[in-house]
Amino acid sequence: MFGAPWVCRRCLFCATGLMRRRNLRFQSTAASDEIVSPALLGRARSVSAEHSRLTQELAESFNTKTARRIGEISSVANAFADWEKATDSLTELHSLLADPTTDAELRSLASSDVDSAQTALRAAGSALTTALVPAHPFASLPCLIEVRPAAGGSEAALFAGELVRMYMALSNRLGWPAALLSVTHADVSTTGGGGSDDAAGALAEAVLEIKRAGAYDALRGEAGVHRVQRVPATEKNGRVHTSTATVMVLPSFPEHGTGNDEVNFEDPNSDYYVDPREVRVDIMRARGAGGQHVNTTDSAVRLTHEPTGIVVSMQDARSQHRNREKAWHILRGRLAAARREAREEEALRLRRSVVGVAKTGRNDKVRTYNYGQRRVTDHRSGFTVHDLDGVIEGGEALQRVMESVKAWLMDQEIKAMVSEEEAKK
Amino acid sequence: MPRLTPSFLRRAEKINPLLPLLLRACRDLRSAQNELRWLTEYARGCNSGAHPRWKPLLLDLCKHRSQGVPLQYLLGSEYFGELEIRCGPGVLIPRQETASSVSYLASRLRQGDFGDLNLNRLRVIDVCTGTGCIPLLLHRLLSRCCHDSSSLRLLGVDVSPIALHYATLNRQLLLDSLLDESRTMAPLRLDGIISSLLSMSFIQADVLPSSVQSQRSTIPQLLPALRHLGEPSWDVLISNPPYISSRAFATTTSRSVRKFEPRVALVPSTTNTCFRSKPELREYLHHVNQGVAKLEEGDLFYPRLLDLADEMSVKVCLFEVADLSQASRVSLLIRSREKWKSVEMWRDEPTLPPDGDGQEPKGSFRVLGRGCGRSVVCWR
Ligand SMILES: C[S@@+](CC[C@H](N)C(=O)[O-])C[C@H]1O[C@@H](n2cnc3c(N)ncnc32)[C@H](O)[C@@H]1O
Repeated sequence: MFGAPWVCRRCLFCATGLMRRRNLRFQSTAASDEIVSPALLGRARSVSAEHSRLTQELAESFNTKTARRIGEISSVANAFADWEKATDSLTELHSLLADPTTDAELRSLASSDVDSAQTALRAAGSALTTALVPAHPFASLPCLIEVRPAAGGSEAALFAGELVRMYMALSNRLGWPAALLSVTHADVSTTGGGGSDDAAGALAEAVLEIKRAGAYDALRGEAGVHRVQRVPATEKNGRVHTSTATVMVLPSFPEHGTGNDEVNFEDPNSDYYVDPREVRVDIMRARGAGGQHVNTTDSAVRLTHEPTGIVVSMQDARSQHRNREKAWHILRGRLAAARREAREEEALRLRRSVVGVAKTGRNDKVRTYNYGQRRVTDHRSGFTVHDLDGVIEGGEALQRVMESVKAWLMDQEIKAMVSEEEAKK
Repeated sequence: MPRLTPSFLRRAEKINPLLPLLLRACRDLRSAQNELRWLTEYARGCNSGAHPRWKPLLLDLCKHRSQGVPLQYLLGSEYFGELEIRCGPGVLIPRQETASSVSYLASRLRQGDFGDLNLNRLRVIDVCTGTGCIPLLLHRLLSRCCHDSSSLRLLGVDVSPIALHYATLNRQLLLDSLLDESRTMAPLRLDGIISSLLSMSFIQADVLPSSVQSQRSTIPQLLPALRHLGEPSWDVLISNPPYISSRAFATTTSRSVRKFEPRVALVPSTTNTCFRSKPELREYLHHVNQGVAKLEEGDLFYPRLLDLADEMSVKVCLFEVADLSQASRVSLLIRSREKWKSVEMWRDEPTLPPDGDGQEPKGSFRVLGRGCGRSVVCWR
């Protein structure tokens, strides 16, 4: 239903080197050799045509502008040439094998070469994709996952808690360090044992930090509205309820300028900079006289970014200093994500006329967890698994769903790129 | 204070049966939930291992808390800026407002706002040091910005042996954690920091004059004690002295503070000092201010601290005060002594912009920040 029948480019987890490549079939299209998305191929072809045209031009008369453009696109052109070469040699091997006149010795040589030719093609395909699709600017960062109940009252609050535990279990299984930065429990009495430190029970809000480089890229496809359909424990008539929770994925910036040059948030020219003068700080002050008169334990800190109205409150730690640090950390992530989103929105507006480019806003319903049918369906990739428990427990089933989203995202990005290119013409 | 209605308590009980106990101390649900979480973490951490009997411990802690025992005493510490400071019965719990003043003082010192002081070899004395939180935080804030902080010298003074016990313990714990850190960090950078922390010390001395024979005659006076140390002069004097009048102690001071924190740390009353009677105290105050500042009972320490500042050729003073009225009296006193170039008043959060609901001081002083009047700063 969505996009071209396409390919497992080296999947998201491979990018961070954490999962051995499995022979994963996605929408059961690709056989063992990998195909590059048609949209991407089309794009690569036009870039490399441009490359050879410009090279010709440059040979006739030198021009700095042309030379610069060639520099920009040569990596794509080279990757495409490699990919074509790999495709050709594989095709050649196949036709040799298919030809009845091929003699036995040659045939056995050819068949022994097929494997390595396929590997080479796969490598060339993934190199081509990487050359073409620019990495997301936050791709290399760790991330924060914020989960909040949306529609559905206490059921939504319970589901929000389950989602948080799902991501914690996933991180745990992959060996990614994850920590709850803040948890606010829903003020509902139906849950019994609430009030403790973990994400058990009904949530009003939770922020989970996954401190692993590249976690942002691996998890950014999780952003959006997640929907659950089931009979709540409290429902006496056995009716199925539909409730939702919102997941936001934010980049997590290092707390101190730890030599990471990519993101320097202390530099006012950087995109990640937050001007302290634009942030209103509120500190929970002791009632009355303060000072020696009271020994309050209130350590809450609230930050308000005045230009955008973004508010972050933090009260989990006994240390006000720590709450302030955490609040800044989350504010930085939210602002960077908001800025990035605004830019994407703008780009989308520019190519509104172009069909087929979908956007994943935080308000779009992205996935359904259907307990009656024990299935999970992602509405973007159209991918369904019938292993609901495996998903909720953060198992491989969840990874499969995430990979399908990753592929879909990649497809969207390529389409957007192509349409932008078209709009320029 | 909001009344705890039965229906509110029932609602809290449904969330967690321990919350009603904590609500008696905290009064609002959000703080009660926070405290329950911290107490639970503490109880669980306490007997991990052999006796996982944390639930009875938690119940016990909550019962104590409902009587008004400060959470900080139950957990054994309070956070002060970026430091965790140990405290317990017999010593004043460090306050967040104090940490804000000290942090701001450090940043103004670094900016060189108080004339030319060499931060690398700054000499700081904290009088009435309690847990030692002030010199420890100042050390943290100053030593990490100096090139070589090994000559930074800090001294804490208190009359109470319990205070000295906690101050020494806190210095030791910080030292231990620095030594741990130095195993992983570039040792050269930490060397200076560690050696200035090693040279930080705490002494027992009485700040007030012994005009009358007191029971504390065995405790030395501050100036002789400093002479004995061979260190009569200091650059910066900080003090958060007892500043609550006996009337304010009965009316505006919260029950938990009144019942559980040491009175000697809070009220400069006759029992605390060398003055045997109220008339004697009034006499003394009249004598020191010569009618200019109209000092009150709670102000007892400030004239004495200013005398000490002169004797020790101090260049910058930071005094914590109860409110803007006390700040005004202390500032007028400072001005009347004609030895100080500038006086400023700082509110609870000196770095935040004012939010307009604070009172205005008497006598045209510069006031910074948001919240209640919290400190007076003067320099030569
Ligand atoms: C308000 S507490 C301040 C403690 C600490 N500086 C803080 O900010 O948390 C006042 C301290 O002054 C001490 N103190 C009271 N009378 C004193 C005196 N006459 N001489 C020296 N110290 C005294 C008390 O023992 C107490 O530790």
